[in-house]
Amino acid sequence: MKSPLDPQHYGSTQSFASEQERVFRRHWIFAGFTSLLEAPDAYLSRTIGGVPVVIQNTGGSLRAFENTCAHRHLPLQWGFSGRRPLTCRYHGWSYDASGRASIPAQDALYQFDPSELERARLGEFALARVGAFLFVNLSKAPLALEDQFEPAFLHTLRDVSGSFDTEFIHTSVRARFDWKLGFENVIDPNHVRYVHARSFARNVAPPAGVESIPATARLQDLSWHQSGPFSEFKRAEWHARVVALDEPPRYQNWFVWPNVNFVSVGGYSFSMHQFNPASPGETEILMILFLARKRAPFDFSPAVLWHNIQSEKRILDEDIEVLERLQAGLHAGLRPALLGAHEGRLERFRRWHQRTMA
Amino acid sequence: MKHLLVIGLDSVLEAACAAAEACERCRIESMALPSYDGGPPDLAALEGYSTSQWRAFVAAGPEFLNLLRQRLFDEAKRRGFNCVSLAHPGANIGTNVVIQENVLVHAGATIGAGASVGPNTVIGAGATVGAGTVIEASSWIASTAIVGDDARIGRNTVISPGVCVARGARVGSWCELAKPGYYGENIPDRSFFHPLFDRRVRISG
Repeated sequence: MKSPLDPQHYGSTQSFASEQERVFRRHWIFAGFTSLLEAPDAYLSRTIGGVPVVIQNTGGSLRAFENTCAHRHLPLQWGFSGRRPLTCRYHGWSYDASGRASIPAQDALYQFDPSELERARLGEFALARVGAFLFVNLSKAPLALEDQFEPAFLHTLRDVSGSFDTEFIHTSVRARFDWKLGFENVIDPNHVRYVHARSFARNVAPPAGVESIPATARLQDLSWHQSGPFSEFKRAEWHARVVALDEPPRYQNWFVWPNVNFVSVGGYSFSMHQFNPASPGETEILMILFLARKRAPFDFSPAVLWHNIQSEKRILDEDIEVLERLQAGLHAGLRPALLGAHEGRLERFRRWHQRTMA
Repeated sequence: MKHLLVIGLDSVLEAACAAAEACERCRIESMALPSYDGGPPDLAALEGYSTSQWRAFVAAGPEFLNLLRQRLFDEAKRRGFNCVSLAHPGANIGTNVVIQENVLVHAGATIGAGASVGPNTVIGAGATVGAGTVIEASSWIASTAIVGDDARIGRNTVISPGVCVARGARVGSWCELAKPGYYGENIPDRSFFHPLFDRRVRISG
C-alpha cells in the first residue's frame, strides 16, 4: 500500500511548524519521571513544542511552568535536571508555587503597578502524573488524558512504575533526521534483524507475522504496550541486587505517542528514548536509563548504569546512521513510500498524522 | 624478603610485572586472570599462595570504572595479603608525596610535592599529578593525562589520555573524562564525558 505521508512531510519547515503547533502544543507529551523531582526545589527542564518548560518541586508539589523569566526572558532553570529554587540568575527575580514573581528592589527600581506585577506571573501548564511518568500539555484547554491514552494503557504505566529505582543516567543526542522517522523506526520491529544484526537482534525474537491492525485510528490507538520473550538473555551479577519486574525475563515496549519508546529489559533495567523535534529535519533524542528498584544500595551502580547506557548508545548509533541517510535522500519528487501488510502500526501513525496536519 | 605475586589482566599485568622487575629484588610470579564481564572475580587460585611468604600486587584496567581492580584488591586484602605499591624508577616523585597500597606509578609519570595517591590507583606513563593534589582510591590517571596542582579526583574515576584537569578543580567519584581536552570547572560525582556521546552523561538521584 502507498504511505499516507509524502517525503516532504519529513523535514520541511512548514511541517515542522505545523507539528509543533498541532501535535506538541495540543497533546500530552512525556516530560520526565517523578523520581527525579522528589527533593525540595528539584526541577526538570524541557523544550516542548518549542516552548521552554520547567517542572519544579515547590514545597512538595509538582508544577509545570514556562521556563522563562517574565523580566528579560532568560531561562530560569538550566540543564535537564537539578535542584535549586525557581530564581532567575540574571536579576534575581524568584517565583513561588503559584508562579507569582518576587522582585528584588521592586519599590526602588522597577516600580511596577499591580497589573504589571500580575503580568509577571509565570505561565502554568497542565501536568499529569501517571505512576512515575509525568506528562505536560501546553494547551489552555487540554484534552482529557484518557482521550489520548486508553485507561488500560495508563494502568500499565502505573503498574510498571512500582519497579523503578530512583537513580537515573541520562543524556541527549542530536541527530539529523525528522523526529517521526525516529518513532516510526521503533514501531517497526522488522528493521532489527537488518540494522542490529550484530547487536540487539541476537537477543530479541523477530516479528512472527502480520498483525491485524485496522487502518482507521483513534488517538488512543497510537500508544500501546507489547511484550515478548528473549531469544537469549544474558544474566549479570547485579541482577541479583534488584527486584526484577518479570520472571522469566521479557522484553517489553511501551510506545507512547507521539515520540517515546520506553523499554523494560527483562524487568532488570529500563530505558527510554524520546524523539523531540529540534529543527526541521533534526531530532534531539533524550536517553534515560535506570535499573529496577535496588534491594539495597550498592556502591558500583554507577558503573552498571554507565556500562548499560554505552551499550544502548551503540545500538542507537546503528539506527541513527540509517535514519540520517534516509533523511538525506528524501526529496519532493519521490514517490510515496510502499508499506507492507505487516506495517499496519506505521500506516496508522502516518494516517493520523496526515489527518491532523491537513 | 617475601615474594611478590602480581595478579591481573592483559597489558596492565605486563606493565605491572615490568615495574615490579624494576622495583623489587625478590622472587616475582604473575597470575593472569580471564577476561572480565562485570561479575565477581574468581581468585580461588590464590589458595596456593601463603600470605606469610607472599605479598601481592593487583593489576587491572579502568573498565567498569575500575570495578574489577577494586574487587581484586578487596579480595586480596580479605585473604590477608599485604599489597605493595610499585613506582617505576623512571617516575618523578616529589617530596612529601603519600602513596598508599597497591598503587602503580609508570615510568615517566610525575607526582608533585605534597600530593596524595589513594590505594589501588594507577598513574600512567608520562601522566602528571600536580603538587598538593589528592587522588582518591581505585582511580585511573592514564598516560599523558595532566591533573593540575591542588586538584582532587574522586574514587573510581577514570581520567583518559589527553585530558587536562585544571589547577584546583574537583572531579567527583565514579566519573569518566574520556574526551581529550581541558576541564576547567568542578565535575560532579557520576558524570561522564565520552567520545560516544555528544554531551555530558550524568547520573541523577
